[in-house]
Amino acid sequence: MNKTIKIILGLGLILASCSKQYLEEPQPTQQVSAQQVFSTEEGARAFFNGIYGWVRNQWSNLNSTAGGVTDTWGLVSINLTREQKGDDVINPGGYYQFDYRHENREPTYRRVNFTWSFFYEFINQANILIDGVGKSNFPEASKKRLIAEGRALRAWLYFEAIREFQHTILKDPNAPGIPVYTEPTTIETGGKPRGTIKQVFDQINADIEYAVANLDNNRLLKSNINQSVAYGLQARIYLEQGQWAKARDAAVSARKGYALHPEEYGTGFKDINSAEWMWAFPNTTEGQQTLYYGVPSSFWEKSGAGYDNFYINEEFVARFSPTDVRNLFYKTGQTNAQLRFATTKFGTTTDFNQALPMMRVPEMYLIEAEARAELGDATAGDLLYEVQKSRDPKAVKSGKTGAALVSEILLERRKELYGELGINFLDLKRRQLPLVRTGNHSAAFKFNIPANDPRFIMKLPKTEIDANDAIGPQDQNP
Amino acid sequence: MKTILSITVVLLLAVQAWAQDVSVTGKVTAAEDGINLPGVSVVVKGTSTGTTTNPEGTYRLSVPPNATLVFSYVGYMPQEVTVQNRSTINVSLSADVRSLQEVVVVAYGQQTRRALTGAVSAVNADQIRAQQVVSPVQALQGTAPGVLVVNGSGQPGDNPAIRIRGVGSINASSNPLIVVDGIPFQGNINSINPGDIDNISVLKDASAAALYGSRAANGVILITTKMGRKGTTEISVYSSYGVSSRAVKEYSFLNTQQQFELGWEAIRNLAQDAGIPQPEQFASENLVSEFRYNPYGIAQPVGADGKLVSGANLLWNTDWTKELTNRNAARKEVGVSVGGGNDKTRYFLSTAYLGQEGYLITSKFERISARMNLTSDLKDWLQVGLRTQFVYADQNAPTQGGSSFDNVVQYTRSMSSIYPVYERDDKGNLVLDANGQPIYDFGNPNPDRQVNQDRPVLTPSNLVATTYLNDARRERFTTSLNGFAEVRPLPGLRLRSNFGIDRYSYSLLDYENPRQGNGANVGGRVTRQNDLTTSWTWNNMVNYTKAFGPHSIDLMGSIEAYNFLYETMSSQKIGFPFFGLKELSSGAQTEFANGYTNRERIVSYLGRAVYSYRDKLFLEATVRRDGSSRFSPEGGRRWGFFPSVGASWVLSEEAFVKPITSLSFLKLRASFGTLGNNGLLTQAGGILADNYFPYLSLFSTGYNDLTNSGVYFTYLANPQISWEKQASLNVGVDFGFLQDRIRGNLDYYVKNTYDLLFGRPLVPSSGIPSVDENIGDLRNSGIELAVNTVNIRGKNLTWETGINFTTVKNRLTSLPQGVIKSGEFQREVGKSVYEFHIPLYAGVDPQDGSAMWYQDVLDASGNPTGERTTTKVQGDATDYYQGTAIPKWLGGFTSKLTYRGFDLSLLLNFAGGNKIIDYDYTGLMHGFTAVGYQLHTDMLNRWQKPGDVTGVPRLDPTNTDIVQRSSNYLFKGDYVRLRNVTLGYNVKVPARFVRNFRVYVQADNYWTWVPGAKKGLDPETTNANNLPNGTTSNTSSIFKTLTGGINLTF
Repeated sequence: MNKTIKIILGLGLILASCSKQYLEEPQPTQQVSAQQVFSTEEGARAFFNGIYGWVRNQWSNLNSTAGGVTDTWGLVSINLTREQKGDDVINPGGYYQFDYRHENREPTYRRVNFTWSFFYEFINQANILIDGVGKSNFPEASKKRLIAEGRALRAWLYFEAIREFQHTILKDPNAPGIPVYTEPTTIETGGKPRGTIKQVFDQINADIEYAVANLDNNRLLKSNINQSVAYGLQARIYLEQGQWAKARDAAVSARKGYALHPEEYGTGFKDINSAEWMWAFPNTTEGQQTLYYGVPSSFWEKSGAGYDNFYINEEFVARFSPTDVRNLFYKTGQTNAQLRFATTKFGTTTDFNQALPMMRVPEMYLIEAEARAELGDATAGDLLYEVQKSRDPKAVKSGKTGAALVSEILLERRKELYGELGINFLDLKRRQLPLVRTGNHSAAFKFNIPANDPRFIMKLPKTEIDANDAIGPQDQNP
Repeated sequence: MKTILSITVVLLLAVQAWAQDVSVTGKVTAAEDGINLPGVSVVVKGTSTGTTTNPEGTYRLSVPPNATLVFSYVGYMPQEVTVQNRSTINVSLSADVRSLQEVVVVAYGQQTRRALTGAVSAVNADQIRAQQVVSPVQALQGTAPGVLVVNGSGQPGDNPAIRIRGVGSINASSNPLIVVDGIPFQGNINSINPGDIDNISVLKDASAAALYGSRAANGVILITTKMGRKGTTEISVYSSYGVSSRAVKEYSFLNTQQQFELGWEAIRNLAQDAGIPQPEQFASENLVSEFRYNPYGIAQPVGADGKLVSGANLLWNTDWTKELTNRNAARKEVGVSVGGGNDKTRYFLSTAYLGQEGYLITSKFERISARMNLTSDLKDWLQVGLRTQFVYADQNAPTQGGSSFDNVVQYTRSMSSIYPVYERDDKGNLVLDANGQPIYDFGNPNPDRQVNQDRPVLTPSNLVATTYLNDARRERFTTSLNGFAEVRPLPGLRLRSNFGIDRYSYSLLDYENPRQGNGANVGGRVTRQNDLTTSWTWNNMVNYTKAFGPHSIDLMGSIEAYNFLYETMSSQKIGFPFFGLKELSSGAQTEFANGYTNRERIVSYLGRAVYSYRDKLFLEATVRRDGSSRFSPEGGRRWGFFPSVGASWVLSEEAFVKPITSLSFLKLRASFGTLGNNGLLTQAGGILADNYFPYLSLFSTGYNDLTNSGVYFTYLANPQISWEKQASLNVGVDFGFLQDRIRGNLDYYVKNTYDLLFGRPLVPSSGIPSVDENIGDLRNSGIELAVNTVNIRGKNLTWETGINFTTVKNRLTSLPQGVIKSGEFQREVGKSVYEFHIPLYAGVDPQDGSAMWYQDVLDASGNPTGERTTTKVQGDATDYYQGTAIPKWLGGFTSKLTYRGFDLSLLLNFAGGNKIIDYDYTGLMHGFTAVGYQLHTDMLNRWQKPGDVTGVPRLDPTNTDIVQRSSNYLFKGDYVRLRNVTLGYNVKVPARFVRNFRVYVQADNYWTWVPGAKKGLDPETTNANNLPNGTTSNTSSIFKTLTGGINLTF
């Protein structure tokens, strides 16, 4: 009997002493703590890699309440949505057609939830990164370099977000902006108010100034923002604000070391190593990127391997001379008028390895040209002609000046950049122009939308208004 | 810990004083005819020690010399006999229908039904076998009061969602704990052959379930497998064959002509709105180019009058449902079991095969199971036992839910009859390949064709072509080893050590063939995943029972360790050189390769004390202390304490009740206690998964940028997080009238969940959608009534019926903020967890045909005035509460009639008081905002001209308001389902060795009545995470089966 007691007692004691250790043994196997991430510079770099990799991936937010649908699935969806909202692209049906119809802006729609949640999730990640590096034990120089890249990223995110939810700052700098957060979100974080557009741009300007001052041109991949890209972003940011001299200088700095390479047209816009490409996100089948939503080519091509529902306005097609390397349009042979023209700019079939171009050299030329034209600089036309001549050996310099020259530059931006970032739509907003659709759009969608019309911006998500004490129904966009 | 140890020590010291047990044997017979009674329960009074008689009616039991034995058997009056040092006690029982003495499996032991203080529903082997289920827990539907079973999928082998007495959680798991033969089961419950199950006990209140502590809050399902009886050997052979198809009829779709005529009208409306001259002509000219396909083969099949032109004939007319449905899905089952034993050893051996096809093409489930259960008395003080099973299951589960193109159900509800299975040329003729065979049409654009190409619906795809060629195979192999040794060193004292391990492997193969479909342009794609789940529980228990005169006690103390390990590896490759290669080695390029490990551990100390007085008053207390690796070691949050108390009083034994002769039994019960729920979940990519470290803020790895490894911040934790707790109160009465010909029970329950795990929403602009916290309380309350009656008991004819009915009132009692909107639901104190909060449809404006919704009138400061107006812009509509997705009442009805050799039984189950938002129907009411997709015949009622009074708005392809969430798609979920009807006949076989031969036919799920919903909706609906939240997502649904079979017993 005593033996039994001893056994039971012994067993109990062993269990009691072991139980603490027994319960502590299970630890996360595929996750790491903030302490681990910011213990080394490599850890911080891995966080950058995570952000750059995820921004172009099959994104949905952390509790899967936003994103995760074919047309709301990462950066490519932001770009393709903007492509739909101008005059040059026709969408006869299928994904993104509600954007093409300028209807996809209501507070409960997935487009709105996605766009808002997408930018703000990455803004928080950038804030975590900037904060973590700031509190780390890294050498000061490394800290500055890493924080500069983090702030460039944040400037870009706020810049993209504000343009979805407000008109240009030039219309009314004191109009409501979007909430600005510069600290990592904690469980105590509450909602920030909309503030003004100017306040948002103050943050953007401060971030991008810090970035260009402290970055260098070293990077692991073309997805990373280096100093040239930061300058390029700065050029866009100042162009948006009508600060022509700053835009000009930034554009010049941005393209230092780059040149125009017209021969890259015709091989398809997909190679991340293209010499004209300053900033781009790669896609490879090796990175799970074998879904049709993730590559623009599946929408532009017409082989049947993708969604194939983006067509080109015949009037836009007519603006390209036969000798222009960018004239990659062809007749589809379809009877439905909307389906008349398609482009091979992104190749002839779905290519899962297609990289996403985010910034190319000719845009820097054209920013500089526009800035100089606005500044009354006589060399503006020369810069435009440099791009035109590179694309079309038979190009003739127009000799236009002033407003006419600016119009010509805007058209050149469309011709150069269509299909990439939604430049037509963004320029209409930036220059406060109406959207007048002509050509072979369906009669129902041959819009004439006045400048600064509410349809150029999205409403704020209902979830934000419901949850944010600092934003009420009265703060909603019209 | 110290307390438990001292208790153990005191117990061990105390028991030394008592004398040795004596061995008692005897035979139990029926008083009327002297027939031997097998299966009679023989229990030492006031304890849980006992046995059952063998087929010859004999028993052997080791008992204290002064013990009282209680003999009880279903249908007979129980009898008590004092042992008085006798070694042989023969007993004859007189007939009765009392069944309250039957032994019920409870947490960590068995009790007589009479002694129960808690709420336990027991389902026996006959009830389990009466239904043609694949997963054994499906048998609880309608048979166990208070248990809601929702079969949200028609894929054989998929398990139903189970909710016991309401929905106890929002963001943590609401699934009950499943325990098989005493060991928490972490495999797939579909691997257990229902034929191997002896009984299932459902523990519903604190007194019954609190011994499972931090895993008990959603109730516990105890499954006990069969064991042979001492005496003769019983061999059972069973075999059946059946045919299955979808239980409810499909929604009714527009045919091709209706599609064309309504399509014409939609385009005309569009042209009218755009100011195009001659909109009718415009519509006739543009109709085909909108559909892109022309099954009529003539340029303008619909004239300017909007009617199909005369003489237009269909060149094809595809019924996609027919193409993708297996309407004669076979069910085949065969099994053999052997049970028996002698004085020392009892065993049960079984093997069985089940093959069940689903009603969607290629859907199937096959299971081969083998079981061996063995218990042996090695010495009169030592018993050992082993329960083992090996089960292999092979499932093919084509996608049948969600919005992937591959979803077969969505496909049949998307592809209208306009679109052909095979490619057609401009004239509508079949296009043939070089071998003269038709070519599957994937809807791709084809520049060589003007029409019959570039399909606007789910292009590119053709599930008829790909589903047969592709695999969606899930193989499961489960090994369960569960052994125990029990030492009885002294009378009344039992020391038991029980170790059970389940090793469950899951192997997935998704194959996309390189010829057709998704795999075609990448040379085929193979995904393989292998998961290995290993879980074990080691329990060491001390039991002591003792009677002192009219008093008896039953004490139990136990230490338990639980270990869970989940390892997964998955990889996907493309580029396969030949058709049909499905191994990863054959692929050229890796798309991904992933793997990780999850671990969880629990250490527990538990105990139970039962006191009974004259077998009529019972007091019971249980405690459990759980330490869990899921919670922070800081601040004592790792450990939780879960106590319960219960009492019952058999009033019918009291002198003041005995004179009421019609009342044969009356017992009052009450219990109170605390339970926990550690099943914290996390959302990852739309999939709910266990959150093993909810207290840690973490970055996830694997977020790489090509070859540069990356991490990403994915979880913001509140380190204070802990399990959900539940205070559970149950009061009940068990009754029997007319010598128990009417018997039943009535219970009232209240379950207050507090420290509710809630995703407290942060503002979306913070970049973190929500933080999991223990905030909020909710309550489930209601009554449960079960009544069983013997209506006729004659020599040749018997008729018994049973009905059970449960009400559930689910409401939130505290929340972190006023209201929390979550999709179609809004959480608010006083409302249920799944309370619909959506726009209220106001019908169609008869003047212009616009859909209208109600909208609150606001005062100057933006607050509702209480008045309502209507709006024609859905986005401006106000959301209103419109009922709950949780059934407010549910239950079942059974009837069994026997006449000579025949038996006829039926089982109905019902549930209702809930609402279902039918998104599948919504998708069919798109009004040409999705051209070419299937439309419901309700679309024929659309508004056409001023003055039309209808609920369906004018066709307007540019206005997607029609497919937004709204009350016109919300339906009553009340239903009654005839779960089962069986007609059987016991054939008299002259052969001496055949003990029983039964033939039967049965129909399962043959009739469903859903009066408040659209035909096509199955009322048992769950979302993609198998949550029964009243939403639909084009999932498959339960099937009906007509079966014939035989049972043979030797």
